[in-house]
Amino acid sequence: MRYSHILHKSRGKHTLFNWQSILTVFLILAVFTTVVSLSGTIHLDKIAFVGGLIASLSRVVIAYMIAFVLAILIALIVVSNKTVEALLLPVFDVLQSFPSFILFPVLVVALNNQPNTVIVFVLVITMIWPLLFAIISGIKGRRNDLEEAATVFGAVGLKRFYEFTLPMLMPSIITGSIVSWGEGWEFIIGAELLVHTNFGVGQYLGFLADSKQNQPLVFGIILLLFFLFILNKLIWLPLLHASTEYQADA
Amino acid sequence: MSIIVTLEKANKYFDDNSVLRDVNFDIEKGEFLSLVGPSGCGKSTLLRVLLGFEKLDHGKMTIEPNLKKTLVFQNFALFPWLTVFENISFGLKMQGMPKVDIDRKVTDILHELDLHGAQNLHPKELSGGMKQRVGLGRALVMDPDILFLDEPFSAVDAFTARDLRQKLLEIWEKRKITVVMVTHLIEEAIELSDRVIVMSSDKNQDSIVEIYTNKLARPRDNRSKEFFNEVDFLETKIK
Repeated sequence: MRYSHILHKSRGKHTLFNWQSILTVFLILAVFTTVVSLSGTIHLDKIAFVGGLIASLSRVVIAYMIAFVLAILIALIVVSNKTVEALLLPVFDVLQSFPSFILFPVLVVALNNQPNTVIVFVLVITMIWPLLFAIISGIKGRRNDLEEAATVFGAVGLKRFYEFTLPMLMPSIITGSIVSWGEGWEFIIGAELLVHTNFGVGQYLGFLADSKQNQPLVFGIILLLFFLFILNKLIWLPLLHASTEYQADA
Repeated sequence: MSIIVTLEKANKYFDDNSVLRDVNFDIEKGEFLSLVGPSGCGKSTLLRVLLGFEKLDHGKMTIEPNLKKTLVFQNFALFPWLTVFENISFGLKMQGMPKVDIDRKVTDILHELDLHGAQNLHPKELSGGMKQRVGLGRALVMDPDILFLDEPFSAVDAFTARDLRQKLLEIWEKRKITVVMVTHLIEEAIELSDRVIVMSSDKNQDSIVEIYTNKLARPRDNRSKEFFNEVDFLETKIK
């Protein structure tokens, strides 16, 4: 998927008492009730599933943090110089289309068959693109007058980065993070199926599929989707709302 | 009064387009100086040169060492994610001033500019006039030696602009700072300034066509015959 087109379009209101929130509460209650009522009849190994979910979540979080730091650094380097930008952007445009799964056989050998390292490494090179292009787009679309105001009022070095650059880029960072996070979860299921790990929600769902345990498999997929929905609703959407709320013309 | 900035034969080009042509003038300490001219005459570029945002292609700018410069922007340029208090304190925070001193200085400015009560609001919650008062507060809290203003009243309505001009004059008289203001309004320049630098967009002549010294006594009556005579005089210079 290409991310060069990322724009800040998702700026919908996200308040506590709108119909979406009420629907969410009902959905949570419905899923909770279903889980409780089905847990006796569907034999989903709770330890394997929850443990796998935590292991997968940890891998995605670690990969996201690495991708985030790299994306910020690379974006700042890319836009710092027109020649560097002209050289690197076309390269990144090609690299973002590169199917990361192809790297698995090479990485398994190169990284001495350490599953966690292989998965996190490939997750990073998958998750970095939406973040990188969103941040580059944010930097290129920044307001010159705000940059000049920061300069006039003495913002330099790390203080400038923390007090000015980072908050200014926050809407782009969050938009890119939402896409990146989604890509990460899409990818990790496949990655855990390909690389032999002891724990992982993808690994466990793969095991259920291989052993033809269809009911727990469907139940597990629904729970996973619900978990991701809740993460999105409770973390990313409020962050997106907070980051864009005060970004109107000032 | 002592001279704190001098421009000699200053020239600036954007590609082949000559924006500043042989600009010569001084800025005296404590004066209120305005740069007036039609669109495209280079007054904003000149301001950016004085601020150090643009470099001269030819000529020389001499500036007193350690001169503290701040700017009030035409379109406010407030940081949208910060509150009024945080916007005003931004420069002090960058300087590394202790929090207790920042709080004291910002509170004083909030009172001076009638912004107390709005300190926790974000820029998008403010009217144009309030935004510009925050912009002014953000500049004044730094205790500048020179306060630059880039068409500071052009983005607010006429009534707000009148109040802000009055406020600016009060502050200038009280603080004895040097003010350099870009404006396209001759009336505004004459009402506020000690001297007015009149600029032309005619590429066949020097950028500055007149350095006018305002002899009208303060406070100035902008409805008097003498006031309109001065306006007429400068308008002929621009044409």
